[in-house]
Amino acid sequence: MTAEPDPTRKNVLDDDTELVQAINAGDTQRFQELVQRYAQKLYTFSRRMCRNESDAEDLVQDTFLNVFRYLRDFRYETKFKNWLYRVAANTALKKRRRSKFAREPELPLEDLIEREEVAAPAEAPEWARMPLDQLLNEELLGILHQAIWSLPEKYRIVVILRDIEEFSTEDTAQILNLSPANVKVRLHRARLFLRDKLKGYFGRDV
Amino acid sequence: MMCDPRNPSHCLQLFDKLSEYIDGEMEETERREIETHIAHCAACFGCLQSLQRTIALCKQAGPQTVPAVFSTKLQTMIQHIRNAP
Repeated sequence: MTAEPDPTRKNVLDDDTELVQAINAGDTQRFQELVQRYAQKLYTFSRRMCRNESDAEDLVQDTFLNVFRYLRDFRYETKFKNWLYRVAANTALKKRRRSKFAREPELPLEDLIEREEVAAPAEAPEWARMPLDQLLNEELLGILHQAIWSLPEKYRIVVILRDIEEFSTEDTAQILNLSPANVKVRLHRARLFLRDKLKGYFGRDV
Repeated sequence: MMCDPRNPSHCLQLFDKLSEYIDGEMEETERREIETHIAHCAACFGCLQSLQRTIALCKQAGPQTVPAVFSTKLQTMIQHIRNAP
């Protein structure tokens, strides 16, 4: 059965619309422009998703390959960027499903809460209070990257989209085909997990 | 939510909502309840600050520069797929 187009639906126009329309009208030369526009963003997304650099490169390549293949199916119903990240997210998640480590652990909230921490009054830790530029260094960024890679994938992808790529909750929900409530739950757990890892790095206090 | 800084179960309820509070995705009434609580609960205030700092650090975790070798490889691949029949 062919779906009837919804006459009440409006196309979403954004900075990419003209370029995407041109490519879909046959000007495939301009696909290169699309790649230039998004290569760095997709590379960042892929490096945060994949611990291994060559896996990240494969993910970028496969994503652009899928974008080229399916661009004609793009219906201008969402921002193009959301559709692009949806292709990237699906490509990443499919790769995982094919791997032998397909079963993913959950992050139960109770495991992320240290009861003594909420029961006992405490001050904010020094690392949470000192200026960000004094705190940041290569070693800390390395610890953070390791922590992000050690998150189960379904949590990792949410924290990358929300806190690194800075998509809104609504856009993240659209990209991952989840409800906004589900995005919020996963994001909170992912943040608590990362906070625990940072606490471990800074040691002892909160 | 009644504000009781000495009640750990109240702190746990709040703990569950800290991200929504930080992201400004909360109803006004609930937001005010949280603010009242953290004004009196040093532990929750500490949790809030460390969670906010975690988020700020995440924002520093990108962007990543595309290596020149990979960039060339990508361009070659794009040319190849464009020229494919």
